[in-house]
Amino acid sequence: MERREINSDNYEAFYLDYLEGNLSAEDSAQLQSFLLLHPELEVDFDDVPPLSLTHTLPLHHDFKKGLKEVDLLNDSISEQNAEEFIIAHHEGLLSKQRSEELIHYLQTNAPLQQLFHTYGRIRLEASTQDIYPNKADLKRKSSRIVPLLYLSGAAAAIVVLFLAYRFNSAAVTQDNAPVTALKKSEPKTEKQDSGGKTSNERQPFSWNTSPIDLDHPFAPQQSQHNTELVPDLRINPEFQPEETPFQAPEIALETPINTPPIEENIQTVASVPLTTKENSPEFVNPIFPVTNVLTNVFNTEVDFGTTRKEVADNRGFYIKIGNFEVSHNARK
Amino acid sequence: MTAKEYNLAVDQFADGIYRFALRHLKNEMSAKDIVQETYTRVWIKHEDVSFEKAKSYLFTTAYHAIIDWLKTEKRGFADGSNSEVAGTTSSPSVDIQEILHDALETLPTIQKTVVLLRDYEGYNYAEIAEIARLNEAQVKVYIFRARKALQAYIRRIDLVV
Repeated sequence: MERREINSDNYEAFYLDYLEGNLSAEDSAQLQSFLLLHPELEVDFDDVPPLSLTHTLPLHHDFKKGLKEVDLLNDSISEQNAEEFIIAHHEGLLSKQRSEELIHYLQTNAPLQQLFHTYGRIRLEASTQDIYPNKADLKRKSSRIVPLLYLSGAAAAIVVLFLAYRFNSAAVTQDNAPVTALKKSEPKTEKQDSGGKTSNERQPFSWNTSPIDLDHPFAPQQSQHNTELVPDLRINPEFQPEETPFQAPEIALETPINTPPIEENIQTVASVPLTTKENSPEFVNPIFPVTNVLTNVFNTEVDFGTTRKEVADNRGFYIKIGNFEVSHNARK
Repeated sequence: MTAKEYNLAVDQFADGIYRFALRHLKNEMSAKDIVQETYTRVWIKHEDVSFEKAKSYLFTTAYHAIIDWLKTEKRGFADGSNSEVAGTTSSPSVDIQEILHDALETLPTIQKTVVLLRDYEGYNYAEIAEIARLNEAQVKVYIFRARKALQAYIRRIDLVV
């Protein structure tokens, strides 16, 4: 086999073989001589030892030990793994039985007992002086997202309230007064008996059964009921019971017993929208509950309406309080 | 979590998060910033977080905020060779807690985190794993390593003293 000569064209191949440890001692000596004769190549042969697997970093003797897992349940306690068991004991990872085994094992080993007590002290405690000072800045107020429709309704209600306040005192003729006002202005017909019960409640008619004073049979009696409502049962001096058969006086139709209670009247009237525009196909009241409440509160017709979306030609609104009405109409 | 529960979480956990951040960042202002950022993040999600999970969620958020802060500021993250905590000195002390907190600063961030969550807040391994996004075995390994490092530090101090 012909031996190759080292020259400037192939010296790199020899040099790589040298670095990988594949160059023979004879070739290595030849390469070293060549590089010494050619310093312009700037290859320092002496400072670069051949690579070898034997030059890897030495493993620490505890390296394998560190990789091993200690089976806290099954491994027997020894001097090599006692530290793991001690830490596990203070971490609360050992069963009661294994802890007793550890304590028993440590009784014969003073250095491990010292280690046991040292680990018992290694527990960080939070300083009570480390307090976050600005908790109030972190807190939030509970807030609800109010839909835009409600905001619009509330704004309209405020406008209506303002207008109602301004114009509620305006002259309203009795003829034009709303129904609710009329109902309230009616004289109350309900009467209270001595027990405090109102007498306008629907009750079946009953005769006055108060005993008659026989000594003063013609004296007016103190009736528990209103004399306008209760038939007069005083004995007529000309009364002849033997000649005239007894007849009950016809008084039922003259009493206001059948009159419904005032409150029922008001509620019934108030629950019906009073405006005619409300029922109009052109207008819609988006805040009807609000205007309804205002109607009840002020006893004045309060209405608000906007043109329906379907009405494309006329866009507008109106506000009506009693006889006062403001409207706006914008034609496209 | 309602706003009322959120405010209750502020009262109950803000101090713990502040201490947790202070031990990592070694700077009071930065720790306060972490607390504010944590609660701001939690408030954004407060409707999706139950009050029972609030503490864990807060510490998880705080932990990640701390990690982000350390990465951004490049202040001793992951190298374990940290400077002193604000207000503490490196001189030997007979107070075991002071020594332990000095020793804590020598630990890598992840070991410091798990030990603080374990000792300060009393979390179990599963909860720590959830907060630090580790598994329980990793948490156990980090805690054991941290305990050994703390013990070695104390032993050296004891020898000096």
